[in-house]
Amino acid sequence: MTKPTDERTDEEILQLLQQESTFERGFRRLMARYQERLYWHIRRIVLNHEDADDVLQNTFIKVYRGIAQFEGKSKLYTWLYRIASNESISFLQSKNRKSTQALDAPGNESFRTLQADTWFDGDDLQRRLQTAVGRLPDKQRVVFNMRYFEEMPYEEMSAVLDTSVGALKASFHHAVKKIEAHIRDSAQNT
Amino acid sequence: MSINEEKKRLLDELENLSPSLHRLKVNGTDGGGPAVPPGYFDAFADRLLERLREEEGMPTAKRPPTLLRVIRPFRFTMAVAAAMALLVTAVWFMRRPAGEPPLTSETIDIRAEEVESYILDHLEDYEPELLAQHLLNEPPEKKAPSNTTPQTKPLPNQPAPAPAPQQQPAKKAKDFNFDDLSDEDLDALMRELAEDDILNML
Repeated sequence: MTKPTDERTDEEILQLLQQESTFERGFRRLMARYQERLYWHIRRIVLNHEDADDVLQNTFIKVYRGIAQFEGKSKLYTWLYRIASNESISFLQSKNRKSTQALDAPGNESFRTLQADTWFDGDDLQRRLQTAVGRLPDKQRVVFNMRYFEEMPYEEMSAVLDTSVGALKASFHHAVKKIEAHIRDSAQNT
Repeated sequence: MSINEEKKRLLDELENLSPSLHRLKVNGTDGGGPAVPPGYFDAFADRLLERLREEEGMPTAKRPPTLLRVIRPFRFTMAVAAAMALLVTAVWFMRRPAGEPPLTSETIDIRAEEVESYILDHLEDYEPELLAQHLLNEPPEKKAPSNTTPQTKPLPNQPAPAPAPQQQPAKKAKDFNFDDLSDEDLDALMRELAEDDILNML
């Protein structure tokens, strides 16, 4: 049975990354293949383009440092998503600590982040949805984004986040209810 | 499971959980949303590799050596050497001893039979009058050329036949004794000359 094209391409990339003479070519191919998907995954978590750019760079630097230890036990994209998710959560936690020190509510922070982002030109509904997502706890935000925006099956999410399918379903359900309530409330207030 | 099946599963799930989010997912919004600066993804790899080289000491990709890259370290030395060689050659040409004749086509050592062979191979390049004049101007000893005694003659494609009449008045064709020509020369001449030319010569 032949392997799917995606897996064949990942294998080629991993082969290129094994030799010093072809490493850069392999790394470029890896970035070309995954940078956009990872960017949007990160962007929906951190909301702002500048922050997403920083986190994406940090993600690929972690990949560079760890690629020699990648044993191929999981799929390449699963490993990459895991690094990107962890980097995004670390970034949010660091940002939340600063926000807490400044006695600022996390929801206000995400609202201001969206307001300040020159690369967000969504309509009012888009902005309310993103603000509601920004109010979710960090890991729940990642779960909601992967399921709602990226339409990832729970089984894949489970491999990326190393969490059981049941826990992910419960987390998503809670997130949906919170977001719905926020959108409804903000519509009544305006 | 295909992407469409997964999307259907998600929409069913949303419909049960939150009709408003389900509608938002199905209908979308009026447009827009998060965007990226133009060319961001095109430039990302170069930016990141530069950062990796600076911060992580990532080696530059090894490329197979090319002749240009091999000689690149010596390019200044080679340029100076080439300039010096050019200069020495120019000085050597300009400062030849006064007694020595200048290098011209006339001073180059060319054998008579080489000239002869060249002319015969390129007869179509010559005016019949010039050709006849060249053959008529040949000294008698030219008829039996010796391989051991090279002779110098003007190059056939030089305007040599023109100055020849000034140095040595050209014989008119009528005054020429065709008996002086060898049989081969005569045959070649007769083959190449038009009938009118022969009549004019006579």
